[in-house]
Amino acid sequence: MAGSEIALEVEGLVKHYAIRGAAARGAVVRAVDGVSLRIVAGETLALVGESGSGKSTVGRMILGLTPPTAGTVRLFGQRIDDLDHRRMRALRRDLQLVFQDPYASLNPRMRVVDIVGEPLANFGLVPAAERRDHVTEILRRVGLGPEHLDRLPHEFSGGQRQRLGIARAIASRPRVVVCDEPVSALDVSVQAQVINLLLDLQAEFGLAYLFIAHDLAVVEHVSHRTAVMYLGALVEVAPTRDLFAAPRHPYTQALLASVPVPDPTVPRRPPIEGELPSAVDPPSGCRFHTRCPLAEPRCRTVAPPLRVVAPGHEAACHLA
Amino acid sequence: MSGSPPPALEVADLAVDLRSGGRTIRAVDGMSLTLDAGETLAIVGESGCGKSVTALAILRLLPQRIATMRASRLRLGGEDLVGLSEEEMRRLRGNRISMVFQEPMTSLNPVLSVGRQIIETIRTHRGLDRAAATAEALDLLRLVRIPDGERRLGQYPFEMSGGMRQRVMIAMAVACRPAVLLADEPTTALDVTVQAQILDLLQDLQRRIGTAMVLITHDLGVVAQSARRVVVMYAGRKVEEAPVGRLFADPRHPYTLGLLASMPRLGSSAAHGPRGRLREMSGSVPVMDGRIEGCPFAARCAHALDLCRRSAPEPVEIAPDHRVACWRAQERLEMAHGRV
Repeated sequence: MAGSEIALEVEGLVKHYAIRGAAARGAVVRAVDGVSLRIVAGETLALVGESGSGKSTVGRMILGLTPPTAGTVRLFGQRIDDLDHRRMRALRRDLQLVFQDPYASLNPRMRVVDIVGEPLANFGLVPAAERRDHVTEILRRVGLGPEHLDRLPHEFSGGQRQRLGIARAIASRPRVVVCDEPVSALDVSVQAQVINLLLDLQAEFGLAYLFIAHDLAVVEHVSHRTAVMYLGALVEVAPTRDLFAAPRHPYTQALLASVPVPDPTVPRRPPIEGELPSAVDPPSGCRFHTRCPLAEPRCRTVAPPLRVVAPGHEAACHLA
Repeated sequence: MSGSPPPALEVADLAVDLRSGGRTIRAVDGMSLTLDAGETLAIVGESGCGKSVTALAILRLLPQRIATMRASRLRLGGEDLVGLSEEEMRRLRGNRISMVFQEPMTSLNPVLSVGRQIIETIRTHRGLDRAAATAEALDLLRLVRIPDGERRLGQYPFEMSGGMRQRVMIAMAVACRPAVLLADEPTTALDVTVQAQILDLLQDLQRRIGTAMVLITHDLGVVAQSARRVVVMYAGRKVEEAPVGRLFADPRHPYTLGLLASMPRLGSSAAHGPRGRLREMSGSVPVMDGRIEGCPFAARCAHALDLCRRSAPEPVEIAPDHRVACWRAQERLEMAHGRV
């Protein structure tokens, strides 16, 4: 169960990309514009949003794969956003990642024993002579057998490959794992297996997950708390049950209303109009005001900060 | 025939073999479906189940180099497609029957403006002059709810969002008011708020122009919200077919039951508390090289008998318009009603 020790803390994270080319005239893409988050040990925080919301960029900055424009990232109190390459690598033992596409994230020429054994070797955790046994045990934990040790990634199905990706991520016994769309590429019948595996591993090893995903039904199943992003900023953060039962931000409400309900007796709700505005020139005031059915004049001029609207429940809306 | 119009589309016993690297895969086996005028029929299944291949085979878009198909019946509004020449099929496609794909970026030509592509489609099939075709293109953009049509016609696909590109694809697909539209995962690549807009648009278009639609999807939520009837495919075969209300209220095939049970649903945290385990379906989809003996789902099925592993069940009607390809469907139906 989630403790109280803060595993991961992100403060005022910003990522602006300069647009190249003569016509750009110093324009920047505001991919992430001031995001603050906390995850306690053993907790799953889901980060949801549509494409272009900046959720994956937040994940990449936490992992040190993309340097932030501003802001800090702390892992168990230690600042990690300003580490050099060597120290970041050492830290990887504690902070691991699972990607969406297991095909793209596994070296096609490496055998399973080497893929999963690599972190054990890199961090000097297990002597070479014992590595094979150790990998066998990790594979067993993710539902793969010793017969898989000497196979190559292409010999596995999509679901098995994601199990491999998870095996590699947990090999060094990390305390925090960033999962970026870990089940989006999987079919429904396999998705359930992988979701259950992630839940089991968390219970067993006390992992904290940052679970980045666009599928709201999946997120509701796996997370303790949920944070919703829109156009580079957080619009709502709440315990998962509260967020899904009583969403306070109109964007969260629209997002939930858009999910097709697998029940033909439930009538379809009318979609919200419009599309995600450009992150180059985001709307003034509240970024959602151009699509918001409730927008008032002040929403066009004053950006609402994230504020507490119920215990543990924050929303960035003047009307929430 | 008693004067009732023929179905918009009729397919019987469709089989498709795909060859790759010396292996032959039976991608679709014994597939039959009937699409009534103006209705929406969903085909639902997981990757590799043959749902897209079925659509491509109907349109004869599978490359002959790797694909062999046959069917005992393939009719579009009563007209037999089996004997048609390649040239005759080309005249039909995009005209009386057309298709919308998952990824509009790969089906639109990246180096031609959107307007040019729509106008070409209209001119090819309807023989209009350029001015009339341009006026028609603007009407089509309004029909698919793309604002600012004149400006949009001059844009290239990369200048548009995914949702706008899909609207353009739909505009081209309905340019000739087809009797049948095959939509293959038309909203899968889109965000959920845009998906809702496109599903709404497709339904509205159907009402306006009376097109019948085959909606191919992996998403049971999309099925429930959009279709009148649904076909469930597994490993190349139809395992269940029912009116949508019945399929969700009373699914009969163990695979359909498994799919419905394993999908995460909104509202789960209020109902069961957060972080409940999902029901798993064990195993994975069979590899389809060679012929599968028996029921393709038998290896994953908790109810499988020896019979199921030896012999493949045909779809049997267990209630009006509700067909199930399962040896034990009838027996389990009687058990459910307390007759055994």
